[in-house]
Parts: sequence; structure tokens; C-alpha cells
Amino acid sequence: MVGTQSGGAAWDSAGPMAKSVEDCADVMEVLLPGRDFHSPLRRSWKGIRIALLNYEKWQWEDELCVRTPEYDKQHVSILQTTPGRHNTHLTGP
Amino acid sequence: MTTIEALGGIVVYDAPLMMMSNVVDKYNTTTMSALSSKQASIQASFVSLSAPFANFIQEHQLGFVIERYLAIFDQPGLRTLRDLVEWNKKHADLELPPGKMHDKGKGHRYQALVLIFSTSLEQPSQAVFENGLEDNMTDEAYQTGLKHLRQSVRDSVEALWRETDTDIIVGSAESLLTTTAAVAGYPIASVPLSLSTFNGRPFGLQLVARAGAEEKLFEVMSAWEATFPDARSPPPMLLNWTSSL
Repeated sequence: MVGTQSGGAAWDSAGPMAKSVEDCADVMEVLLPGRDFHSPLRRSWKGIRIALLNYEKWQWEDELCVRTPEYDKQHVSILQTTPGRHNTHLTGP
Repeated sequence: MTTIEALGGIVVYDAPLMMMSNVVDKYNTTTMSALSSKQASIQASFVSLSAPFANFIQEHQLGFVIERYLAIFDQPGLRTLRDLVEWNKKHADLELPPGKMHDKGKGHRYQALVLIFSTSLEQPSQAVFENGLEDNMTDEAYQTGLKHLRQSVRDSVEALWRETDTDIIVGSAESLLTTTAAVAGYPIASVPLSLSTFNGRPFGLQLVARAGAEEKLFEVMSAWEATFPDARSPPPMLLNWTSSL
């Protein structure tokens, strides 16, 4: 595909990156003509069944990425409870 | 996750998805590898795919991926992986400046790495290229091996969904889940979670759905966006330069 660069031929796949899920859906409909990506945007959790992976178990090896305990702690704590709205104390003067 | 549950979503915690290394053991995808399983698995995790066979596939495809990339540039002597390895050596002052492996991982795995890469540890990226040159797998073995590996990982993912009665996997965006999705060839999406109090860096989660089920990803992304609109906030320093982070 023109404009893309392969990273690992067997694993590659192009996809959109956008500011909102609607924008992503718009691009997907260009990439995969004939499919409808707007109907699934129901904004609801009803009927969604998630298999959540254990954060600790699925971390990269230290040789790949050195761990930052403070960062891990925050990630885990937000993951289990409520995401978002946790960064208000980051706002500067 | 408790918010999602309160809004009608179902969450199975600590979902028993097989790690790549276990998939490799169970489905015997290591039989075609030249190194011992342990060596290969250490080496593989070093180049970011924790599966011995995936590593051999990675090495085999490196040659043609690099050729395709170098074709973009107007540099006659620089066309193949071998050219690139030689080029780096010839221009070592620019391409291979003295580096330093991080010294935080001095466990037994680090020691094992030192043994394998004794001469190349200072230049791990060049070592990946040089390993690629040693690839002697046939294209046929590559295709067969890739197919077997992909099917094995798909089987393990399908087993998880069947056993837990779920249809989407959620994990940290900075985790080994990316590898599983890539090798399975299943669609994966990212959603924002928050900003790190450690250094202000944004972080998020990844969602994996069945092959061809991109619509399911969009359904979850849409629910996510509706429930956690603030997770998408720009980093504070982008809004206010004098912000503490």
C-alpha cells in the first residue's frame, strides 16, 4: 500500500488513528469499502463481555522495558476502578 | 472496570489467555528452530517477540522488509540487508556510536543475554540485522511455519473466549498482548486511560477482537468514549507550559 512502511511483513496491518471513534469509523469505511462502522457506535456497555488480562503477568520483560513501579501502581489502580478524571492534580498553576 | 460493570458490561478478571511462550510449547512450534528453546526464547524476547518460532519468522522476513524499505531511497550501494550491515560497519562513527545497555536488568536473563550476544551487546539493533543475515529458512518453511504459528495462537485465543464466555480481550497497551494480536492476525485497537503522574505520559488499554470483527472493536471504543470522555485530555504541559508535568 502506497504511503505505508512494513515493520514485520507477517504481522503488519494498516489502520486509522484519530481523535474520536467517529473519525476512526470514517477512515475504516474508506479502507474497507462496503462495511458499516457507524452502526456499532452504540455508546453502551450492554452486551459487551470482556476478558481482562492480569496486568502484572502480561508486562514486558525487564530486558525489553525497565519497570517504573510508580507508573505501574497508578496504571493498576485506575484500571480496577474508574479511568479518566485522575489527572486533575496534574494541572499546573 | 467497576464502572464498566455498573453500566452493564461483563468483565472476567485475570482472564486465562495463554502467553506466547506457552502456546509455543503446547503446539510444538519450536521444532523448526535451530537454537535450543531456552536460548531462542531469550533471544526472541530481546527482539520483542516472546516466541522462538516467531523469532525465526521475524529473521526470515527481515531481509525483504529491509529491501522494500531501502528501495525508497536513491542510494545505489544500499539495497539489501547485507548492504545495510556493511554500511553500518563502514560508517560506524555515525551509525554505531558507542552505546550502553541499560544496567537495570542484571538478573539471570540478562546474564544469559550476555552469553548469547557477547560480542554484539553494545549494538543490539545491529545484532538483530546480523542475525537476519544468518537466516537460512526456505520460503516454504516460512509460509508453513507462519501458518502453524498463527493457527496455534488463534486456537489459544478462541479457547479463552469460549471458556470465559467473552468476545473481546482487554489488556494494558504496554504489554505482551500486542504480540498475541499481531501473530494471530486479529484486529487490535487502543483506547486512552489517563496521564501518568510519574512523568505526564499518556497511557491506555488495548482491545482485541476476532478476525474480521472490527465492528466489535468500534462498539467497545464507542462505549469507552461515552463513559470516559476525560481520558482523552491532552497532557497538561501541552495546555500550559508552566504546568508541573
